[in-house]
Amino acid sequence: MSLSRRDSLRLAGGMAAAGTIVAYPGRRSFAAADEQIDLAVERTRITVDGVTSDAISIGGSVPAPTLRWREGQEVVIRVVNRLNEPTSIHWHGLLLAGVMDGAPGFNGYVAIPPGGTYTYRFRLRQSGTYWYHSHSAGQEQAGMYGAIVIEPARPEALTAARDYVVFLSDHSRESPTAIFRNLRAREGYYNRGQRTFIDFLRDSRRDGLGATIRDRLDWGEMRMDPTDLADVTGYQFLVNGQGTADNWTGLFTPGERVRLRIINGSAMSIFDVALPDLRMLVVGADGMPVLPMPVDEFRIGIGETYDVIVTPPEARAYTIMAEPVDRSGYARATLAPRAGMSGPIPPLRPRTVLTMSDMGMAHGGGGHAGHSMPMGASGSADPHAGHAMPMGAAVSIDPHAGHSMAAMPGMADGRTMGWTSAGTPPGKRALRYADLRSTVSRPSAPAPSREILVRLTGQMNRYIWTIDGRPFGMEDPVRAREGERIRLRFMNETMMAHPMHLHGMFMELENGAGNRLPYKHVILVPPGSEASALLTANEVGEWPFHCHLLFHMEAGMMTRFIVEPTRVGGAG
Amino acid sequence: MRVLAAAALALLGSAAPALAQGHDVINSRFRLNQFDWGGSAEGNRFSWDFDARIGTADHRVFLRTEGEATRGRTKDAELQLFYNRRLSTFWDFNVGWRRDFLRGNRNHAAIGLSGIAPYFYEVEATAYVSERGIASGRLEMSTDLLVARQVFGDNGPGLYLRPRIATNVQSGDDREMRRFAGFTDVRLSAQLRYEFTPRIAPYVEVGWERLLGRTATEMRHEGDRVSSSYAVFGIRSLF
Repeated sequence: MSLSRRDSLRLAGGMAAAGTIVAYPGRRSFAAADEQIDLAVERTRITVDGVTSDAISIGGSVPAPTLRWREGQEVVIRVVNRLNEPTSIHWHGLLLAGVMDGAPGFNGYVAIPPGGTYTYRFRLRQSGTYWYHSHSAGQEQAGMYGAIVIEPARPEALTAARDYVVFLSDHSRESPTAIFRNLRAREGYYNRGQRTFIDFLRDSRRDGLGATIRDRLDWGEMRMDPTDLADVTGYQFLVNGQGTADNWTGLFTPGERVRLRIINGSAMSIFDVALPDLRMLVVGADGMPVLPMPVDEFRIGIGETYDVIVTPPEARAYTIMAEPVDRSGYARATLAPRAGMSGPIPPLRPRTVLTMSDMGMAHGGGGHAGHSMPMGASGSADPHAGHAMPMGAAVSIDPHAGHSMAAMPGMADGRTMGWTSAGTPPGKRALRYADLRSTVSRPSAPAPSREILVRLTGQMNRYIWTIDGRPFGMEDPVRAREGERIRLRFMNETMMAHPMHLHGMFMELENGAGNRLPYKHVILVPPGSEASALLTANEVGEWPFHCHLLFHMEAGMMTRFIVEPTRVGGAG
Repeated sequence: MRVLAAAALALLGSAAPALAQGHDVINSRFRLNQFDWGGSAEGNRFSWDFDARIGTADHRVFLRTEGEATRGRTKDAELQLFYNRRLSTFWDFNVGWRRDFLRGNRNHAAIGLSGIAPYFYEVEATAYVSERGIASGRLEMSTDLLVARQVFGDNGPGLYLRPRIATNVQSGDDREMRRFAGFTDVRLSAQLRYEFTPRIAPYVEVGWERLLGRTATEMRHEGDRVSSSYAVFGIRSLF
């Protein structure tokens, strides 16, 4: 930060020129900005656990420098593109004018050309933990990501002596282009956990031959793979840009409260995060404060953030573990009283296998569900897809429902069954979406005037991912009038979880929290499930609305969320 | 046409960066399905089956060549060029051209379906009309059964068993090609393949093939074998 500030001062004179290139809202001059920073985007090489590979950095490092700001400030960020391709920076989770959002092709924002500069300027209307990243092609996965920490204007109720960003990411030595090509070349190109004949024999012993054959036939009939949890493997998993051997370490004094701002900035990896010996108090989700909730672990979708407070009691090392859901490795970091210490690394948990009930097709005890249509089996082309079964009750589906604590009922022979089975150890408690309750009570929130169905669709065999069966470019935008209150109902017709991200506005996740629905900018919709969220369309613009699995977005899983002004020129 | 032009551009390496936000990214794939040596009842045997694919998720161009040589003499060799269009989630439509080399050097117009049937059976069904006006059909079905993962402690997909069936039928006699009306032949094979990576996958394969119907009768009259079995080892590769 200090370097950036110095650079900013030095370059302050030159910034007026840059300002003429870009029209931005607001009348103030650059000199009046509260915070200024210059960030260059350039190719670099990074070394993780002793292995050096290509990357793209913002501000000279991977991750990019943490931007520490204060609510109410006006910030100016000048981004210089030193790549030989267009780039962009998107401020993930921030409420701002559309042109400042940084998504090329939306809100009049144009990607920054090679050698070009773009000056972002916006006033911080919120506080909390957010992040920023490229919104151009595969650049984000190459290292273009960093944390944003915005202090609240008024002090927080629960203070912490230490405050650390824990930025989770995945780094591949393969180029994003090569990965995408491989994903298109063969279904399951990277899947190293597909079920074998040996698994069949073992499952037969456990479940009986008939049940096992029926299970295999069910998946075969749908032409879906119950082991497809993460499309891409071969990643190194990083914490703050450091590998498992590098071991990023945050220091503490025993008894201190330590705030961890955990951000999942990975391209394709959904993580289960735990500090095996420490209970976490979840105090924030997606940057917004929630009522403190003690848990032992949580699952974090791509683009989500969780703020937790831990209080390590002893002068020893505590491990922070983040295991991707396909268990193809892990990220770890350490909290310790001194540098150079490391705590025990627990064995990797079993990798789960999806079940027919994940797809809404439970055989035994599933009630009428067993008679339902195989959801998404025929994908976007299916005229009946809209009739896919309503899962569960009226309250939105919780990704961890029913499996939150105690020994995993689904665990057997080193494999757990079902999306919700995180392999949580006996007696431990995993966060559920239903646990998130906003600190802000909104008893008078108006009811939604209408519901918009958002079908999450795709074809794994061709690596086509879509919303409502339509790839980006042929999308049917979501439309709302300014100020309109709507419900978004997500219906996941695929066998993968999709972290659905809306730019520019918060969604209020309908998780049964009554008048304390949590604000979210990413909602992780589990395989074959539904979720719903309310939203007041109070930000005029044309916002990206997409799956935050990078290669799903690249394949087309994105649409426009258009908020039309109520009056002509009403945006001002 | 647009697709062909785009495909040509991609081949020349001048296509736009492959990762654009959108659906119409052009990708290529090259696949060596069979490349093997071994022995059959007729003597030593070599066969190949290679395809190249280029295009978007919806529109593709396929080039495929396959053939077989026995005792150093090429027995069959053919080339197919297809335009491939996505029809539904699991099915594609193909239209194009096939040329048989050797013997009659026949050209055929081709039209067909390919895709993945329930239970992950890869199916290719194609109808042809030759330049002599004889209609024919071909059906190929195979599936990949994963037997075991990481047998050698490697990080690959594992050991696959791939049963396959292929058969041909035609409407009339083509004496020059030595094929006659009705089902002409069938081949059953089983391939045991170990994928260290999708790029490097050695295999062993055993198969049995037989001429059928009038084709078999006529060949028997000429003193040729009507059935044969083989065992080969080879390499499969995807890149």
